[in-house]
Amino acid sequence: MNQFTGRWNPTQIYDKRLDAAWVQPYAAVGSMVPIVPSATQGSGTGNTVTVSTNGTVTFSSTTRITVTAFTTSYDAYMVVMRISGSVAGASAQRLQLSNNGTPDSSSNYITQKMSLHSTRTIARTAASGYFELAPVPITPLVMDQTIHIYSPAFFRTTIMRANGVAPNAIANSSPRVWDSVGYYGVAADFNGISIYNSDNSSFNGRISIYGLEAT
Amino acid sequence: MSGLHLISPTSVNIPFSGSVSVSANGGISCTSTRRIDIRNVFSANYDNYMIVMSGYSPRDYSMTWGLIGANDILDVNAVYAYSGTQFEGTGNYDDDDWGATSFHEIGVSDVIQIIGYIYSPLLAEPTMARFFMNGYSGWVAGAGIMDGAAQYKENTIHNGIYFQGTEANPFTGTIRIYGLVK
Repeated sequence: MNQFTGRWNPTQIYDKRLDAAWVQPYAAVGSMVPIVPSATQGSGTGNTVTVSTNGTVTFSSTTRITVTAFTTSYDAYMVVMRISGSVAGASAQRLQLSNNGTPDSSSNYITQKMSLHSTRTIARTAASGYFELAPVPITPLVMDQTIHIYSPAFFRTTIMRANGVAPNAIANSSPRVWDSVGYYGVAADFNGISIYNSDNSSFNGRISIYGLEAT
Repeated sequence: MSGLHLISPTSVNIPFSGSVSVSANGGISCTSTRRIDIRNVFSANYDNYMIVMSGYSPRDYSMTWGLIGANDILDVNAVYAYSGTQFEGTGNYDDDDWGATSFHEIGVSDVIQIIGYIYSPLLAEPTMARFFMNGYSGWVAGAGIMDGAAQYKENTIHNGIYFQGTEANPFTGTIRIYGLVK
């Protein structure tokens, strides 16, 4: 039987090494792969959600954005996002893991956060129904974060680490260093994330998700 | 397709002492450079970038950095801001500034390794950055940590970046800038 008929896929090309092992070529092994979400959902009046060819999700006027992008093809993911809000005040952004578009709001999340602005503040949040991200500024100010999520698609506990930068609530002052670690303490598997604000206000932004290939 | 692309700048400029070379793939190598302007390294193919730097200076390390705008002109508007924390030995130093004409110094004493993210410098939106710095501290003869957050407040388009030391503290090492596919 010919096992090689079908569509050509550049990620499925294998080279034969001198030791006769078949491996993927260098460009396709151990790299960071942009993920095109299998589904996105936006909530809120007049919200818009678009997805670029390579998978970046751009949204506006949304009170919740849910992106389905995780599979067992990757252990770890890197999520890069820019968010800009609509309501004055220190609205905190929250992340929930999701399955097929349904956010998990169980009390299995624990967040350890470090927020630094002039004087360092450290706080620990108790178990809650979300992973806490950085405060959301008002347009045109923006908040950026890079979040590493480890093994969300496998039936394990899930660890998340967010490294963010956000303007301080006080105008004309230095930005916040925002670092937080999230722990979902029960074995479960998820295929997406869902983002919303603590006051359910609307926000705009972009999210790109990358899978980190295991060699 | 890889989501992380090493970018080759259209040109680099060292207005003071030192030397620099750029590899075919875009890796930048500096020798005793007091300032390096990395021009047209941001492109419309990417919103966000990762920078990896490693190197050393002959004395305690200190280098500011900033953005380059149109016509390869350094942006020195007083709208840069920074917050950061530094750990060396048992010492901890928090620092911040606002309204500066460049971002705060980066580096931990003599030997440094930096990974940083720069968010949307080419868009007419604020530019934000996070830097994670590791190094050898001559002060305590041990390892040092320095983490910082940077904010350029105005909605200004930037297509390059520069790093500036001092005459006594030039930079020798490598700089790699990667685009995150969007």
